[in-house]
Amino acid sequence: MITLSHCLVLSAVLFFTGMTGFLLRRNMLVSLMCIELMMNGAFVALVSYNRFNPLTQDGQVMTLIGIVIAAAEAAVGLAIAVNLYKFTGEVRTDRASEMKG
Amino acid sequence: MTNQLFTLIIFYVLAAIAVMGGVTVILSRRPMRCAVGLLATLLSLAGVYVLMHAHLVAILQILVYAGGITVLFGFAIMFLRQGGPQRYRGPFMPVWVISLFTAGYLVYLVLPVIRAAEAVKETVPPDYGTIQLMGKVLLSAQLVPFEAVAILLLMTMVGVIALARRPRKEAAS
Amino acid sequence: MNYTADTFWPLAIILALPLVGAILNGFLLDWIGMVLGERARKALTSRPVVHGVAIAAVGVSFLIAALSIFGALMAFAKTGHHGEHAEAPFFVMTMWKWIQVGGVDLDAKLLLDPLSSVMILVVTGVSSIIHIYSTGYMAHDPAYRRFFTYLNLFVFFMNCLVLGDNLAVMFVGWEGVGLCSYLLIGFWYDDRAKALAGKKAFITNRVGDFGFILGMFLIGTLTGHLDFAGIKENLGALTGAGEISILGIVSISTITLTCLLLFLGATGKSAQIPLFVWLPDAMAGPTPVSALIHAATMVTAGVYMVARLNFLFLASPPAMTVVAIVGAVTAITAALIGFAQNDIKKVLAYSTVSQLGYMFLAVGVGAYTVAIFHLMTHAFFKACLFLGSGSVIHGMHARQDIREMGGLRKKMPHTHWTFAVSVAAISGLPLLSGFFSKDEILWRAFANGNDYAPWAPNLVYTVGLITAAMTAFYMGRVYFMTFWGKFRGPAELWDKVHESPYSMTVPLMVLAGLAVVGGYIGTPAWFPLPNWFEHWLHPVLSEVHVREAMHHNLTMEFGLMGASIALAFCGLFLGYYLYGNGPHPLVGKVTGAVPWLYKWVAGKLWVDELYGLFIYRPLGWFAALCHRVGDRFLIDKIMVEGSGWLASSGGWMASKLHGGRVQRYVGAMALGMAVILYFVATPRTEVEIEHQGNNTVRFVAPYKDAPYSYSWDFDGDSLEAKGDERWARYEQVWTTSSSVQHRYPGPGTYQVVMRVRTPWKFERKRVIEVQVGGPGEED
Repeated sequence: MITLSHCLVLSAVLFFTGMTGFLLRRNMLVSLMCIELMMNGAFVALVSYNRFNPLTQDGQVMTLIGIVIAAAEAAVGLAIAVNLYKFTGEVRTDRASEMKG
Repeated sequence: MTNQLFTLIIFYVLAAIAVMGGVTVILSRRPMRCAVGLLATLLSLAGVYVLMHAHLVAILQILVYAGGITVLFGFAIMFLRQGGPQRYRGPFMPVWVISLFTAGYLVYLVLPVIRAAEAVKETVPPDYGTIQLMGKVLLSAQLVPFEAVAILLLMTMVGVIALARRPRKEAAS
Repeated sequence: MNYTADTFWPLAIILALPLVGAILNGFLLDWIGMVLGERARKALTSRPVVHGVAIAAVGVSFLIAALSIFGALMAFAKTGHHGEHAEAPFFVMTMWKWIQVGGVDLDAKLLLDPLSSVMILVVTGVSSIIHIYSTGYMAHDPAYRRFFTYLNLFVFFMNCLVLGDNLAVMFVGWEGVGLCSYLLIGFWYDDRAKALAGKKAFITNRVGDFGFILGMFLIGTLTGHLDFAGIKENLGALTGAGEISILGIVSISTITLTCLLLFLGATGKSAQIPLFVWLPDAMAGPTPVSALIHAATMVTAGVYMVARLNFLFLASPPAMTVVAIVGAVTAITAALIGFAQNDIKKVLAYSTVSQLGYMFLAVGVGAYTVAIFHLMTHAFFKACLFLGSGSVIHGMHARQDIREMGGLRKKMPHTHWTFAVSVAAISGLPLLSGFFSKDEILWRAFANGNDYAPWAPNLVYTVGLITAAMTAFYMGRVYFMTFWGKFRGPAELWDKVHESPYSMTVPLMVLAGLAVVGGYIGTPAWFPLPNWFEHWLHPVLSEVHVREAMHHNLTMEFGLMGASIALAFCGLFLGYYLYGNGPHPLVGKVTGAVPWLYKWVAGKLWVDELYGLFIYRPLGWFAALCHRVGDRFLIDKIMVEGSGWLASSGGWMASKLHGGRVQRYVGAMALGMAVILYFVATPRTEVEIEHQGNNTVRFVAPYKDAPYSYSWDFDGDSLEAKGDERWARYEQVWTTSSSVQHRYPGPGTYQVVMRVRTPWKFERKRVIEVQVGGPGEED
């Protein structure tokens, strides 16, 4: 039988995997994928919490909206990556440091 | 009982695939393999959602994430000629250590919360997670975020067009 | 009949008119002219308009004051003569609530009582005359408008000082006249010496103001009142306040300290020792200013203040004695310096200091009425003398040295006779105003008792008498040097010397007339006329009474009077003998015999030099030290440059954090998340220990609403409780109650192990030592 703890462990592992990847990888495309990983970790938590408190549908609705936002974010992020590639010939995040203080 | 055990086994398999996919994403030197790892993670998570009786979410996960976003990543990787192996120049040692330590410490802090969640029982109403019910909720109680997301998508469309458009000649010169 | 009125609005008009004049002349007419066009501007700032506005402002103010006082006088005359307890006419005008903070409740309130009515008449009256005189004296000055603006402003502040019903309003006037004095002394500010003289006057006055403010604070703190009636009612709070120790060296009673502080203010404003040095330098200002501010009105403010607070000073005999002695010493010192001065205005300045010394002598012996009387007569004849000297300077084309003058009586007849009358009056020749007032001062100095210092009356009387002779001598010297003998200046100048215009001589005549008849309102007891002045002031001024032995002792009074008259004649005769026909050879012989003495006197007793050596220089060193250490090092280097350095280096370090690398931002975010999570996830182990008595201790965890569970091991033995102990049931058992109590078997020190757990089984342990049943603990 699946308990909430199982799901939450999965969620935490996915989230921190994504976070570690984001901290360590320099390729902007991979960074974006890591963000997707983190978001999915959060979605798993939302869905499973909703599953074990099933009188409302809020967790699922939140997940749906989150998926849409993730799609929008990926679209914008990839557009930015394309532009970055046009300027630098690479998609490394450490090259995109024009806005440093 | 066998049913529940079976479900648990499926969950373990799906979770293992998802974690392995995630590890692939952060460790592979080829972005295309990263994308495939991400795809595996997303698909297996859709399976997990099915186990959670969240059918609509599972379907949309496959449609939007696996079908849309991953394809978008693939196109971007190919378009930007990033498919081959990258010269892996990782961050220098302290950053590695700090990152892993932080992540581990966060897990350590979060685990008690997860342990506290053991006792929750599972009883699911018959219409839980059905498209019918979700549609009702989305168009009544959650209408405002639903519409807001629609506006967000519109704005994203405009923004992406503006970003991806070829610059004008005078602007380029 | 009740003479009091709560809102006697003419007072506000008397006060405000000069201010209106100053505003009109200062900028308003100019602005209106600017709006109307160049021709209108020229017309509105022309000399007739300027002095018309100024004179009208002061003159109407004077008229209103005179009418108000005349009305009060008529009513007073009906009741006043009949007895000692005549009711004082008393008008007040509350203009607005001024300060209402905490216990302080101050009104901007004006008061017209007999004392301030005398002062307001003198101030506005003499001001009017001097305004008229100034139209002639300043006729050729390019800054005509500025001059009258300042003059009007001065009259406004002087009215404020005189009419103020409380020390705060008075202080506004006090500071204001100081400001105007500064502005007018340095009126010709492009002359460095004159600008410096103005600065000197202002700074010296600040020293006195410091005393005034401190005295005011003492009064306000102890009595809770700053208005004169309130202070008088609550005087007991000051007299009963005990002693104040100054730096542990001197112990002085509070009332005496208050009086001395206020008197320090008075010495600053009224140019007494030790702060008299500014007044002679103040002669750098235009002569009408010297006459108005530095002879007739502003410098008498100190005397007025002391007289106004007579009840306060009477409560402190030591302070009174100090005032009397300072007055006497100032009088004789200034007279001595006056011997050797050659600048006509300088001589008059020292004469003013000397006469002010007389006034302080009078208030010091408790003869307030006489002091105010001398203040009034002095205003007349000293204003006349100054204006006369101004006329002479005007006629001599800005020459002030009496060694270059001589024989001017032929060229300037009007100036001459008015000057002569005033010299006679100040010397105390019989039946002139100065005679009545000065003689009364000397008589009271001799006759008044002083229980605190019985030797003081004789001392101040002797000094006063000698000073009277000296006054006659140096005034005679100035008079004869200026108007008699042969002209000693350049010969070509003699033809150019001319009498002044009527705008200048008529005020001289008016003032000379007042100098003659002004004394008859306050004649002594033996004179056939009644002493109106004393009747009028009696209700508001307390007096120290004449000693019993001297009461109605006409023989003694006439004897003393004869002595002073004789000395005055001697002084004048000596002046004539030595200077009547140019300086007599004897003068040179005398000064040649003791050159160091002459140099000392001519050098103003080197007071300025002494101050320079002992105050100015050390102050300069101290200022340089402050500049180097405080300003340059602490503020400039450490605080200003240091804060800049801190900001820029902090910014540099922060900019290193903002490397533009997204990963590092996320890393920082993760670290912050970890810190927050740590605090959220860690249970709090604070606990309050309450001793209930009877060996019972209560433990209260302050986080009542937190979803914690607690476990207690009260005796630190890590064992389960032994059944029947009543309060021990919590031992090693998890409970959600945030407070428990436990009864110990007996007194002693116990180790308590407390465990706190969050719902997600995150646990912390804390060991507490508990002292049970100590000696201070009662059931």
